[in-house]
Order: sequence, then C-alpha cells, then structure tokens
Amino acid sequence: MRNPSSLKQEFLKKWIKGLQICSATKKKMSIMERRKAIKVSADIAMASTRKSTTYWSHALMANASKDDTNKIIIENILGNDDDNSKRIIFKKASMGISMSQKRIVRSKKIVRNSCKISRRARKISPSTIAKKLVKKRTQVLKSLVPGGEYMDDASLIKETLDYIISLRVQVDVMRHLANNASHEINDPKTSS
Amino acid sequence: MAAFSSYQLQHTNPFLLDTVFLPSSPIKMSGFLEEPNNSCTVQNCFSQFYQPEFHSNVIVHENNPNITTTLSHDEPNSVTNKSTSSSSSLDMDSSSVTDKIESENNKPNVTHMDKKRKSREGSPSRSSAHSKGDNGKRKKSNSKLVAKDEKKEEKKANEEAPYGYIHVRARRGQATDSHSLAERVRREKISERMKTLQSLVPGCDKVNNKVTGKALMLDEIINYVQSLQNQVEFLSMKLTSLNPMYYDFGMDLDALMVRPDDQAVEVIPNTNSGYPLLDNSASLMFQQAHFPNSISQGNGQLLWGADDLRQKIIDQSGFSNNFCSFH
Repeated sequence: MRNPSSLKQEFLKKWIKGLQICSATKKKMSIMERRKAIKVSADIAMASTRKSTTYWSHALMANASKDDTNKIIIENILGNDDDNSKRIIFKKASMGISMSQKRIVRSKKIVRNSCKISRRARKISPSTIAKKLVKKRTQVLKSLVPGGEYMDDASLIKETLDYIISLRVQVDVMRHLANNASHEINDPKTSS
Repeated sequence: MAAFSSYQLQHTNPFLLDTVFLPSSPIKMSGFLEEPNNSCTVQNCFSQFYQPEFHSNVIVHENNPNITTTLSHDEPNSVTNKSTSSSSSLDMDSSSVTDKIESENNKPNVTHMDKKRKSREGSPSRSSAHSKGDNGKRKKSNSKLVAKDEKKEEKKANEEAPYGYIHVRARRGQATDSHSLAERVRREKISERMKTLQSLVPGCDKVNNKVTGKALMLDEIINYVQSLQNQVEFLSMKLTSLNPMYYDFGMDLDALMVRPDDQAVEVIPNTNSGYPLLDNSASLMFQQAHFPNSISQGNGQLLWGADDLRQKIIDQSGFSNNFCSFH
C-alpha cells in the first residue's frame, strides 16, 4: 500500500488547487455553494490520486464531471497527466454508463425478477437465510461505494478497501485543517 | 470395494491429483491463481486420516513451482509471502517425501492412479462406493487427460504458467466439476480479501472476538464507510464556516499548510451552515457581505470591531456542530 503521508500531501495539494480554481471563477458564493465546492474539489482530488487505476475513482470523476462547473476543476487537477485519461472520463460522463454495463444491469434485473416470480416451495434452510443477509448487505455496500453497482463481489471488496483508505486520508487532512483554522480563530490574534 | 478403500488408508499416497485445467471455462478469470491456503486446508481435511504434516509438506512442495511463478499480478503481496513462508518452513521435512512423490509421479500406471483419484473424489466417508462409481464414469476421460497433462505441467510449469488458465486443486472430498471449482476459487478470493479488510476496519480484529462470517463483516464495513462519509460531509461543513471563500481563499490554505502556528490568518468566521436552527445567520450573512471590500485593503480595525460578533458565532458554531453529529 502507499505511504499514507505522501498520499495526504498529494491530496492536499490537489485539493488546494481545486479550491483556488473555484474561488477564481466565482467571487461571491453562498454558503451552500461553498460547501459544495469544497466537498466536490476534495472528492475530485481524492479520486485523482488514484488516477483511474481503481474503478471507484473513475466512476466518481465521471459523475462529478457531469456538472459543467466541475469540469474545469477536473481538467486542471488532472492537468499534467496524459490526455487519454481525461478524454476517457469525459466521454464516459457524457455517455452515461457504457453499453456492456447496461447489459449487465439489465440481465441481473431480469434474473432477479424471474426468481421472484417463480414461487415454488423453497426450503428455508439457515444457509439460504445467511445468503440472503449477505446479499442484502452487498447491495447496501454497492450503493455506498461510487460506481459499485456494476462490480462483482470480489472486486467490490477490493474497491471498498481502496475507498476506505482514501476516505481516511481525506478525513485526516480535513480534520487537521479544520483544527488549525479553528485554533487560529480562538487564539488571540496578533495584528498583521 | 471395502478392501480397496482400506488399501488407501494404509498406503499413504500423497498424490492428490486433482488439478484441473479450465482452458475453456466460460467464466473468464484473468490471471493465475493457485490456492495459497493449501497447507492449512489440507491439514483440516486430512487430520482424521493421515498425519497432517506429511501431507501438507507434500502439497506445498508440489505447489511450489506453480505458486512462485504463477500468482496473478493483482493479488496482494501478502498472499505470496504466506505461501513462500509456509513452503520454506516445511521444506526441511519434505526432502524424503519428495523422493517418494517423484517416484510416484513417474509411474507409468496411469489407470491405477486414476482409480485412486476417482475414489478420492467421492465423499470422505468410507462408504463412498456408489458415488465413486458415478463420479468415476463421468470423470474418467477427464482424469486420464489430466494425469498426463499434469505431469507435463509440473515439468514445464514455468512456461505454461500465466496464460489465462486458473489452476485449481480440488481437495479431498470435494466435487471437481468446473463450476464448483470456479465457485470455490471465487469464494476463496472473497474470503481472503475479507481478511485484509478485517485488519483495516477498526473493531473487527480483536483477538478473542474475531468476527468471521461475511454478514457481520459486511455490516462493520458498511458502518465504517458510512461514518467516514458522514465525517467528510461534516468536516466540509465546518470548513465552510471557518474559512472565507474570497479571492484569498487559496492563499489562506497555503498559509495554513506552510506555517500553521505562526501565521495570523485573517479569518472572519462566517455564518454557520444553512441549518434552519439559526435565525441570525441570514442577517449575519448580509453584514459580512461588506467585509470582503474591507479585507482587500488590509484593514485590521474592522476585524477587531467584529470581535464580539465573532464570539457569538463561535458559540453558535459549537452548538451547531454538536447538532451536526447527531444527524
């Protein structure tokens, strides 16, 4: 796994870049817009540290780039990287989910509906109950992890691993920032 | 049949020949996966019948060329470490065993080995006669090919290794059709990753209370991910309330990053988030809309004038933060 402190620094740099872009484009923002800008740029920064090697980062950036204002942020954050990844992300965002994934989703829905329809007497053994529980929970997890609906079980767990690490990094950096800023407020100020 | 099965018991044949090629498997598995947990699981299976170390030696040593060369690239490193460490620890005992293996390997008597293998494919109980027959008929052609191929495979394991096949070894007493094998591979992948997740998610890895089982683990994972996401939301809210988002927003953050202690950050605490709890927020917002102009001139006096305002806001922010944590 990567070194967490280097991850943190990378994330922080990219986040600041994104925020600078945000403030450059809009001079005065309302509270909600600001919050949204902060969160979105943090998300994009986090996702770009993985640079589309993982599935969730790709999906996150694709979702974020649907909004036009975010596109500029993404472009600049990804700035130095090759153009290929940028193109892929934007194309994906515009297309929505790709055709193969649509097929997968549709076929899964068909199977699920057909299982519900066939109401044969099924034995209710503890193993089936356990399987149902696990299935429910994987569904929930899929809704949590960005881009999770189109993954199978094994890769889903791998993606959650990665996602958890990145979330932790994000939370740590933000918390440190917030603490420092609040200390600055509470401590007596020296005149600048 | 009974005589034959008892023969197995006495003659400790280490030759677990149930590797199966899945060349045309409909399930596309990229990469190459050997079961790295073989040593442990073999012990479980065999403890009732044979000496466990004996067979784990055997299996691990047989797997050795396969494992070290053919693990897929995206498996975590822990897997390779586990397998190599276990193999190295058992290597010392296996020297005598390996001679036996190789002598058995080179036996030209393929059908003899087939019979043993087939009988092992059945259930572990001694009364596997009838199932053995069925299994045998189905698997006869397969197993013959497998025996020959496996010899070749062991000899040139390095070359054939990573070309899209998954080599799986069926253990004793388990079905060997391609579907269940694939299922088993998938299940083991999942359980392996669950284990790494256990170390990552807090509250799952207490020594006496190891949460095994997928459902509970998934529960923990879901809770953790949700709490992390909530924390992100909450912190971003807090940051909006702390920092002005004016043209010098970026500069503020740079200052914070470089010298968080020294810099006197010109932070004007803005109103809190748009929660409906706070009525004054709207009025405060209008008041502070005037501030950016003053700040740009570097006017410090206005800052001090807003001191009591700031205190009020800080109290409110503390209050609202507590509220945030309960949503």
